[in-house]
Amino acid sequence: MIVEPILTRAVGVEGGHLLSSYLERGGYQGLKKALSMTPDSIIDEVKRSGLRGRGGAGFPCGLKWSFVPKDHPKPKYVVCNADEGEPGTFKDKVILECDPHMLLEGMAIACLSIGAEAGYIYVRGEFVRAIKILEKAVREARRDGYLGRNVMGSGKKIDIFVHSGAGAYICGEETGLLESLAGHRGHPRLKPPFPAVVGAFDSPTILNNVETLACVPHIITRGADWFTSIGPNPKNTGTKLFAVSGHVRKPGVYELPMGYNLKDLIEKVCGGIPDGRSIKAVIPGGSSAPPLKPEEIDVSLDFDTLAAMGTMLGSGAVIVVDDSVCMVKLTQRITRFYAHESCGQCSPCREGTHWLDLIMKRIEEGNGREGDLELILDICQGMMGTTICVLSDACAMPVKAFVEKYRDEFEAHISRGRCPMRGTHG
Amino acid sequence: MVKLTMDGRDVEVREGLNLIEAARSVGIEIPYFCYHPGLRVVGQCRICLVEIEGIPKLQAACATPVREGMVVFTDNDRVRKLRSQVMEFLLINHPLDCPICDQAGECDLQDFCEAHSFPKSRYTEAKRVNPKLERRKIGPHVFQNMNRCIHCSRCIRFCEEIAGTGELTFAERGYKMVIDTHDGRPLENPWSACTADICPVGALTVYDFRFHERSWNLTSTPSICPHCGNGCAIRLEHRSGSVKRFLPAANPLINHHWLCDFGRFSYDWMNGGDIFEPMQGGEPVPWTDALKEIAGKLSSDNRTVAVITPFQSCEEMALLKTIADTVMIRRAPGEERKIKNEQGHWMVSHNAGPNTQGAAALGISLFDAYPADARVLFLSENLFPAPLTEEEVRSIPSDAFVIAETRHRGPLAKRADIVLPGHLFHEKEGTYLNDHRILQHVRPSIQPAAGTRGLLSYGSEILAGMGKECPGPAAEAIFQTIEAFQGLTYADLPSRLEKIRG
Repeated sequence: MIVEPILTRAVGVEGGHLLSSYLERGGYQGLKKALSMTPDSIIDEVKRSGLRGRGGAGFPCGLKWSFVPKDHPKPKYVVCNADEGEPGTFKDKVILECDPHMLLEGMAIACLSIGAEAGYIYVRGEFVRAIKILEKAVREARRDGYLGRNVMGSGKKIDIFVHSGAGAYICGEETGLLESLAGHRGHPRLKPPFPAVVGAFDSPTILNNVETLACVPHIITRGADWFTSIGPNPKNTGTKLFAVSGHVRKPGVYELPMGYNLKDLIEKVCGGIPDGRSIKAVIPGGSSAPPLKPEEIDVSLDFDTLAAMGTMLGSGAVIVVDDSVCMVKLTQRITRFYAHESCGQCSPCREGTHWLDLIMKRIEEGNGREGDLELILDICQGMMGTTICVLSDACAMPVKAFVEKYRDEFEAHISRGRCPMRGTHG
Repeated sequence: MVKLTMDGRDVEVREGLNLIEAARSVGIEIPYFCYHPGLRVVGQCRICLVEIEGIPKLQAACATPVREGMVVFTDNDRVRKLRSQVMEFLLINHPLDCPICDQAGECDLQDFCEAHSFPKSRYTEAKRVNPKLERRKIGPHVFQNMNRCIHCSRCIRFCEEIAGTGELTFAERGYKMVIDTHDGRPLENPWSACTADICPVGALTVYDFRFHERSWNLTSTPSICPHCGNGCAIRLEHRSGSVKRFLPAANPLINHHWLCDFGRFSYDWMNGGDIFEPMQGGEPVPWTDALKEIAGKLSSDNRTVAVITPFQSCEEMALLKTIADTVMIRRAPGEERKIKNEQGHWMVSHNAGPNTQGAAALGISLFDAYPADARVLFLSENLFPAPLTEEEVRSIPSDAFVIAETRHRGPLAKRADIVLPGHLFHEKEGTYLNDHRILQHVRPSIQPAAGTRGLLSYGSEILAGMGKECPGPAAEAIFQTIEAFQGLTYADLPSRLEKIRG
């Protein structure tokens, strides 16, 4: 059921990131077509395609665009979230480095759909190479009239700017990103109002992930019906990039239809687990997704199926963990990350992530106490759904799930005062 | 008005209110730390989360406006559980050094903790400390102890939104996040001490007040700040007859919730003074003798001139006008003082006293020089910022009989034939018309010093001694004789908000 590459066409193509190569692949035909369409018909097409946000939440893209008010006195903006920072996620980087024009075209079409004249790509600061490639792509597109004052001779004005972040995970949260883009501290905002009404520079804004926007030119060129035909589940359409890491023979980014089977992805596509070991856990959607146990991995990789299992597709970052790994140590790595990345404005997150990290560290070091696990679960309870953004949930959800699903390992740590797997993992 | 249900009660509240204010208006308390009615809503502390029917997640009451038909639970099991968890989060790294903390007794964290008796903390790890930020002066008036901070960001928002100077900022991130000044520059805007007022804990305290008094030992009375023509609402806090501090009180028309550092820290003169009984020729005399002497002087045909200050109330001015032939007011120019009102407009005053406009409304002219034919002079110097200087006293005509109202053994008291220790601003009742023509009624804050008498009281006795009719000594009776305020009574000025047409 592996389809033709759509988002990864340019991978491995010599000079694939250049405008000339993109044009050879039929580039900017979507923009040309969109220029002849009305804004409403563009949004309708995207709505019909069933495209859902690839950043993690899976919100219907066309619906999000339709929330932008039409008669608003302020200018409108399109912002691309290229602050790919979730541990385990490295799929947007592929698009940014291999096919940047696909993203620019998607953003230009998004601009047309709401009447925006400017777009911003907020790129993670560590993506130095991607930033260089993007900036070159923007220059090329401006030079050849795909961006600028007269887009493809239509008289319309669309410009796109590349903005580099400074490495904070929280700036990947949409409103944190908008604050950071405007030059403020990356503190997520209270919602409502949502970015569709009060977004970049307090103006109506479309904010999408790189992969979401990269799908748009294909939807416009080949039609919504073609897009919905990909994948077995009508509510989860199109292809999805999966960033597979951990204990598999062939880790990497794979483009597969939505709803592809997780077990097949690990065993067939990625070549299975090396060294004759077996799977202990699979994190299906980046570090904030609760893990799946080996008996749970025969599932379809789509938003709804995974949500029903209490985890999430997230950004499609599949982390495979084999039986050589200590779950306590793994959980502590997660808490350390979130304690370090919490922006600090909400009390439950600022204090909770750090508290969890301290307890996890204590257990990992062999100083766990009876009652620690109940305390962890209760702290997680207080952190879920109680803060402005979901970073707090993103820490509490996996921690809670790891403790619940691998409780015996945590208990062994506490009762023995050391890691029962000591000597078997590095 | 909007109708909604709160904790099972059908209530009606003003449109546009957030849930905290709506609940407050019907007598339900929702706890909060980061919310402040004068500042932008940020919803960070999460203690005000409430349950709203139809919304799965708990919602921040500060950031949720009331809607018709809303069903809100501010105190059900789910909300209480969450609150106790947020309290636990806030307390795990709080030093709990209440016994040595200046904020104790007026600390939101302490109050809320006491009111809801949270169980023992389950936190057993080391508490966070900020060695560099735990005992330092961050400006001329504000002292910081970062260990106590609960990161509510009120102080940051005050500097950005009200002062407009933005000295404070968050630095670092997450559990390491601290409040710091930009580039280490001091917090020295003209309202800097307000950051300590609005700090819900003892992280920012007023340096000048540090370790001086425990808040529960102070008596707090509503008053106005007399140090410029704005007349900001204050709480005047005192102990054993001595003024200890000014705190801002709310008055949306003038100062909203704020007070400038100048007004706040200029009260020292209220605790000064060393004359507590009338004096004649340098010797103490009983009040009756001194007043009899004065009444005799005034009954004869001598021209009497009173020179007063903008610290006199409208009632005192009105009474003096019936006693003296001419009443003049000493100029008291001040530096520009500004305060932001609820609308965000600057209220500006260039006068040093609270009642310059009151004198104008009563038709009292400005003092330039003593009239040549003045035989009896009534001079008041119970004023701020300074008593009369040697030079000013020398300009008093040498043949005039001088009655001085003063508590200060200075040049004027030495020159005066009779010295009357009157009442100071905070010891007397009266009305004051501010520079924006807002009339405010002020009650005495403290018991006047023993042996002293107010102008209304001894002035009425002088009038009686002269055989004239007197409406006093009750302040309100005199107030009702003032033409400019015709038709008003004190009951009309309960919230000190009456605006007099200019």
